[in-house]
Amino acid sequence: MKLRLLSALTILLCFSGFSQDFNGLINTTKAKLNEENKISKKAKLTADLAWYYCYVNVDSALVYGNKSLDFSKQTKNDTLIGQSLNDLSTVYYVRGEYPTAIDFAQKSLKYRVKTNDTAGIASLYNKMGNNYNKTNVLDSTIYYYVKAKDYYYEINDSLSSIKIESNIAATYFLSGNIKKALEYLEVSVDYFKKKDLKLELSNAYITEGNILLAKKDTINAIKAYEEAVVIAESVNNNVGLASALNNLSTIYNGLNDVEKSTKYIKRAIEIRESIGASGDLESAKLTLAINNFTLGNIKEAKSGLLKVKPFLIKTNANEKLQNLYETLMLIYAYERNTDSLSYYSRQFKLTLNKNVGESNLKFSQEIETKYETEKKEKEILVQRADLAEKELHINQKNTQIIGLVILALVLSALGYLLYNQQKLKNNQLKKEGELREALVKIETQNKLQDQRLRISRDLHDNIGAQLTFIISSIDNLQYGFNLKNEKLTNKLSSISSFTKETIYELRDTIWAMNKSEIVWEDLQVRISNFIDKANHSANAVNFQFVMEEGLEKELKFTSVKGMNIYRIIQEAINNAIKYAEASEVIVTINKLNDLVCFKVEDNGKGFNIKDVEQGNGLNNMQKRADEINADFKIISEENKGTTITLKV
Amino acid sequence: MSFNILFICAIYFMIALVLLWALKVFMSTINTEKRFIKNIALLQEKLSHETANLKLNNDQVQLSDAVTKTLVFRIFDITRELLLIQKLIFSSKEI
Repeated sequence: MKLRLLSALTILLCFSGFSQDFNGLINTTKAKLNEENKISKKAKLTADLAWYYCYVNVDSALVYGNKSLDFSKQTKNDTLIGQSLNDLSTVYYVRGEYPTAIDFAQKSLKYRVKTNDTAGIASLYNKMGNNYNKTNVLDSTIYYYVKAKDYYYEINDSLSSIKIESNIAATYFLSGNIKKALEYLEVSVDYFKKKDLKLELSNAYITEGNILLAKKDTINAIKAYEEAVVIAESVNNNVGLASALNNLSTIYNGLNDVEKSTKYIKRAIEIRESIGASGDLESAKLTLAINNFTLGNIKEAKSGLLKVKPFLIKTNANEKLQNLYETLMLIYAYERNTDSLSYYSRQFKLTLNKNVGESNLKFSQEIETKYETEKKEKEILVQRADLAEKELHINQKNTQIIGLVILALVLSALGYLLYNQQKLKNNQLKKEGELREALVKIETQNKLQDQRLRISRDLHDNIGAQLTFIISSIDNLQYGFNLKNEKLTNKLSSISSFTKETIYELRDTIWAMNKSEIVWEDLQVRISNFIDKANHSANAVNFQFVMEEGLEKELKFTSVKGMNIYRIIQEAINNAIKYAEASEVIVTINKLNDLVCFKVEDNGKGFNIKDVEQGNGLNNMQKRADEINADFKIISEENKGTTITLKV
Repeated sequence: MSFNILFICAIYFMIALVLLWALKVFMSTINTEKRFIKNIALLQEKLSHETANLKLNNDQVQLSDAVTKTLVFRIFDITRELLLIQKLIFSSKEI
């Protein structure tokens, strides 16, 4: 009870320090109100009046508060309505109608939220905290103080937020959470020291003293109060100073140092008398009277006690009344005044019973509250445990889902890789198969052709031998039997030369077949040899073999190509000798762009291409040229010779 | 250890295994591809070599066929001439 009284006093200190001549302000404002016609101004002035009346006459404050609200509602200005509701809340707070004050604060809050008035919102939360504090709903008190503090931080109003922290500290102290109270208070004290805010610092030291006293740390509590006394004196914080002195007196009384206690309480009474703090003054006077009784100043003690008694009865301060009756009983016992003794003895018993009843009720309420709190705490703990378990379960589920998703993705990737690998293998097998098949086919064809060639070679060898045998037999017939029949001899010679020619042709072909490709030089030698032979057999014809110098020596032909070129030239020369009756045959080989040009010219009788049907020789030449994709041309005119051109 | 944790461990162990498997398959695919390219190149080389051989053989067969044909005709001519000579010898009774 004692602690509660002390701390309540301290909380009030945070909002005090306001001393003005309110009557003067009220008169000035009223005069302005009479002159003013604008409703918005009237609303503002009546709000100011309500505020000033709070310190003078609470009923008048209520009247002006309501008037201000009416004017504000007429203006439909949200800011003004919010302000009027806020003022009314303050008025109801001062009147001690805390639920109504909270109601008005909440109404005002709606308007301030609407107008986004952060400072106003913070102030309202602070007021709601104060109201809840007065109704001893400490958890709501702390809730609203914390909200107010957050809003003050938001608008960088450090002083207000620290003041609220100081209030939070006091509230925690009241709720018995000394540790938290000290934490908040330390922050406040540091800030006030840093900013040299002595008024606030003195109040904070008083709160610190109260907390230390609750912790039964009497020595440090005394130090804190003494610190508060020094600082309060330096800034004329009389309310705080009186509080600190009162608390010091209480401590020394407890320590049985009655003289010191009396010294401090006398100073407290002086200060309270000077500032007119009647409630606290009477309480201090009671302490002084009891101290006087302890010191043996019976007369002073009795008069003091009797002076205080009516106020204590009026204010129902039962604990103090119990002390008062007890002391009076002792004084009347000392004076042997039995009537008064028996009267105060009865009063003492009644008050004691009342206090004991109240105390028991309070104790049971406290026990019940404690039980309920513990039950709720346990429920909260169980709920927290449930929540933690659920959270863990959810986390595990999430991890499982993530894991399964990753597994599915990795499996898909693996499936794709396997599919890709299989596809590649299939392609490989298919392509390899195709290539192998083609290779086998070609190999088979090659083998087959090898076989054919071998057979052909055997046949050619055999035929070659047979032809040689025929020639030799004919020669034997011609020279061995001394033939006289000229016709027969000529015929045999013709067969012999025909057979020889066949053998040459066979040899030429075998020469070509034995080479995988015919080099230009070989072909040139072959053509040259043939021209020599032709020259030898036809002496009357002049042969010329002209070859351009720029021809590439590395020029190569396939055996078919080489053989066909050779045969065409052979045929052309033979034709020139046999049919053209030419005296001159010129064989020219030169290069024309990228092509090699073979030309056989003669100065023979020539022929008209249109008139002459092409025989086997000309047809064969054309056929062979077509076979090797060569350009073949015959230019001939009667008596102007013939020119055969082959471009390869 | 609860079932959930065991299940999670099993999932992540499987992920690790499957990842290793996937890596192995990937490496094997790369190797197969390399081997495939090498094999194909070898086969193509062989094929082109055989094709060249075939072409050569074709040429030779063509020449051989042509010469065989010519030889057949010529032998036919020679035989015919020889038969004519024989006829001439027997008809003249004088050698």
